[in-house]
Amino acid sequence: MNAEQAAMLSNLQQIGLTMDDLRIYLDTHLYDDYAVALFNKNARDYAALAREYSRRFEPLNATSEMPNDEEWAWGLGDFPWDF
Amino acid sequence: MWVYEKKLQYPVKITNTNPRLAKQLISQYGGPDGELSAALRYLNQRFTMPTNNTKGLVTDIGTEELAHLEIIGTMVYQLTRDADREQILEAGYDSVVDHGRGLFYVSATGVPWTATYIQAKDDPIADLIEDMAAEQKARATYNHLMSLTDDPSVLDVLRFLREREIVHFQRFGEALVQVQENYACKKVF
Repeated sequence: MNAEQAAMLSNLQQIGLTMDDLRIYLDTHLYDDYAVALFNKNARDYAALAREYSRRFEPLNATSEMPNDEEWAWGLGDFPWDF
Repeated sequence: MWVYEKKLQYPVKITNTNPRLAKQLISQYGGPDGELSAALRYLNQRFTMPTNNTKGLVTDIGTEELAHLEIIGTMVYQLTRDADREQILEAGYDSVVDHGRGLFYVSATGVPWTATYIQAKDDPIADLIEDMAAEQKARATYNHLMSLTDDPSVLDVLRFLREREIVHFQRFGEALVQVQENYACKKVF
């Protein structure tokens, strides 16, 4: 994994974790409109970044588009326990 | 259903080999208060939770516990993958007899995972209070593990996981209050 991909993955991890925390907070605070707006902002950023990551490097998740039509890329890069 | 995402929830990069620590960490993989117990407990309770909001909460926390299971698995794997014969013998990492470098769902004392670690009562008060206790037991286990190592790359991850137990405890507590208020409302009106 090159430095550029690693940096983008780290960014995805940070936004993803923010969403994980907001999600369970909102499960018990349904009407906190500030937190809902914050969740939505992170959700938009995450979706855009995940799409770019999957197109440029390798699919982020099992529903991601492959970087090209020629090759099945799910196993192109290492799995996260092998760095 | 679930969709796998090819990333850890929190980064793990352990370069030190330490099969002895792996033997201790495995308890949060397949021990009584480990992440497997947590994930299976919450995801299984979903079917009889009383409201869609509580179903959402146990779904979300149960899913996060699966991500924590992967984090613990990664730590155990990275601590043992480069261990040589001498290190394995010295640490008494006898898991290699049955499993090689593969992971297995056991506690630190070698007890295999069992469904008796978890309960399902079809009673949201009983279930949520069990969940709160489970989060505290997991937090205490992380405390114990943190007292056993000074490896900063391990401590950093354990500190993160311990914090998540505290957050989950808080969320389950809020859900419990809401469920109790919901029951009280029905009696009044």
